[in-house]
Amino acid sequence: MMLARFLLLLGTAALLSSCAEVSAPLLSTGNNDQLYQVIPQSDQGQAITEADIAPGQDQSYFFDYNSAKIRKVDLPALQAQANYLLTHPEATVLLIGHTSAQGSHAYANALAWQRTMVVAEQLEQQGVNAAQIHQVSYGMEQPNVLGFGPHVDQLNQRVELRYENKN
Amino acid sequence: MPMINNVKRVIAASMTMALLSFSANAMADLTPQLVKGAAHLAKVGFVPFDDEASQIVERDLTMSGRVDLVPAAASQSVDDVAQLDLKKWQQQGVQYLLFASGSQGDYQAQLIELSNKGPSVVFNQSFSGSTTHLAHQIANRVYQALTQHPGYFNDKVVFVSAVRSVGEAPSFTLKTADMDGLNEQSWLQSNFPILSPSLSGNGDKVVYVRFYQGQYQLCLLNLVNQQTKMLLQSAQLLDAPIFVADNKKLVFAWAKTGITHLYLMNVATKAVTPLTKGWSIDTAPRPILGDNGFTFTSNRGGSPQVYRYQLASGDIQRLSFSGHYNAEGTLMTNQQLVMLAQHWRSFGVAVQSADNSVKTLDQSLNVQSPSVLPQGQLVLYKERYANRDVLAATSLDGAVKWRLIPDQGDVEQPRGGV
Repeated sequence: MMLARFLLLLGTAALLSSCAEVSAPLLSTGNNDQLYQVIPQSDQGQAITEADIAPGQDQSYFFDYNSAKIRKVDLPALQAQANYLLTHPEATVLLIGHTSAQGSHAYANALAWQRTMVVAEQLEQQGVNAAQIHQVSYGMEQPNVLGFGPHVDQLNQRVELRYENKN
Repeated sequence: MPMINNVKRVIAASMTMALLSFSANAMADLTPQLVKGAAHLAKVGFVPFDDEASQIVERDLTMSGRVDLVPAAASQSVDDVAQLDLKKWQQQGVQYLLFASGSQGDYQAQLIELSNKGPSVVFNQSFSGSTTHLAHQIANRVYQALTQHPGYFNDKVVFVSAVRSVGEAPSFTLKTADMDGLNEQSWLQSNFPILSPSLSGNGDKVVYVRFYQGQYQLCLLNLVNQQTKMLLQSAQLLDAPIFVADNKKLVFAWAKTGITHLYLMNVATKAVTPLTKGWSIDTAPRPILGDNGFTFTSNRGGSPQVYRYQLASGDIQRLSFSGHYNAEGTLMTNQQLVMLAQHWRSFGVAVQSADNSVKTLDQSLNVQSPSVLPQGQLVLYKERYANRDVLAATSLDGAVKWRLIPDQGDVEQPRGGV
């Protein structure tokens, strides 16, 4: 399942050219770690699309390194989610913030929380009731892709929007 | 209700390639491994006394990386120091001899220096208490006599054990252990992350944050009576609590206004006072050794850097300047700043001197969560080793490094204390 998500993300995640970090060779775990999927060099820099317009569906929005700024490419998808929530006032979403798996735990928690805040604010600016939005920061605790390197990090720097209740 | 492991551990020392590994029995949860010892080790002869206590003393002193321990052959076991053939020990190059006598729970231990001028007693002291406690005390006393720094084997470490399997919900457990990995105890298990556990200055309490039923809860665990109190609950992120002001107050991070800032809580009254404000993230407070103030990590300068907060005045001063990402700094009494620092694509433990020059202490794979033990000579942190995250420690002089390797899961967010 992890591998399937990993392959899916490779095709949908944003290109790293806007990332403030300097690109560097991937680090090897050096331990044949079966849990860690390291992206091959040849697979880096895949074609990019924004998040799908999929109102009422769970989806993820990716962020640049050390940034809590929504990418412009994700605004249409968020607008569609806002429209869905406006027309389904009983629906609620959980915004789960994540960062890459390196650095300070506490700083990662705070940054991931701030990412959920900007997504929540974007939805509320479109008229969504704040009571329909719940937030949690997982910081670096639940990476989507395990491993090291800027491309792995990029796939982990995200906010997941999950529908808790669509009745 | 905490699950308490009372496992008698038997130590077996063995040399494997460049690493000196010594492990407890198969039931042990944290196995010490000495990675690097000091270049010049004090050669200490050791006459075993009580089986279990002797094994713990041997485990601790070997782990210290400062001692070349020479156990006596079984035939050399004696009941009285007068029976020892000191010249024979000296001929083996032994500089010190550790000898203890007594019965379970009450021992008299002596460290004797052997020199050409004849033997001299370094200390002759009684130790009492549980087997583990008194063994740690004896190891501490020897360590202090040989290094002039306090020993740390009765210190505690608190950490989160994380078990992740593909396709399954992760499991997080709040744990404590003695600094040599013994007496591991589990206190809380959750499928949600447990955040930033930290010990009180006297080592009898742990403060941490958990996420429960959609709320962050700031909790205080009393390790003595095993009671947990919830101090604060919020739908907004709570994180990174530490004790300050003689354990009477907490500094912690809270996203009460949307952005994570620092707050002060009086533990007795639970009254909360905001300390920082603005548009930047302020988090990861760390104690300043020998002071009631603290450092914290903020991106107010554009990237994460370490700052100092003066509790008396509220003044804030930037401490770290070199590099794009410095965090979780511990300020020492000599103004050295020990912190997590990014170097290229990796993170390591860095030490910034009073003149702002920075050197990397250890840059193993995926280093995180450095903290300095109260004795001021050893930095604890997490590193990636052998397919898991393990607890590691390096001395500030760089001479000694050891690991504590769990038998299951990853060690996260380790923090040391008395």
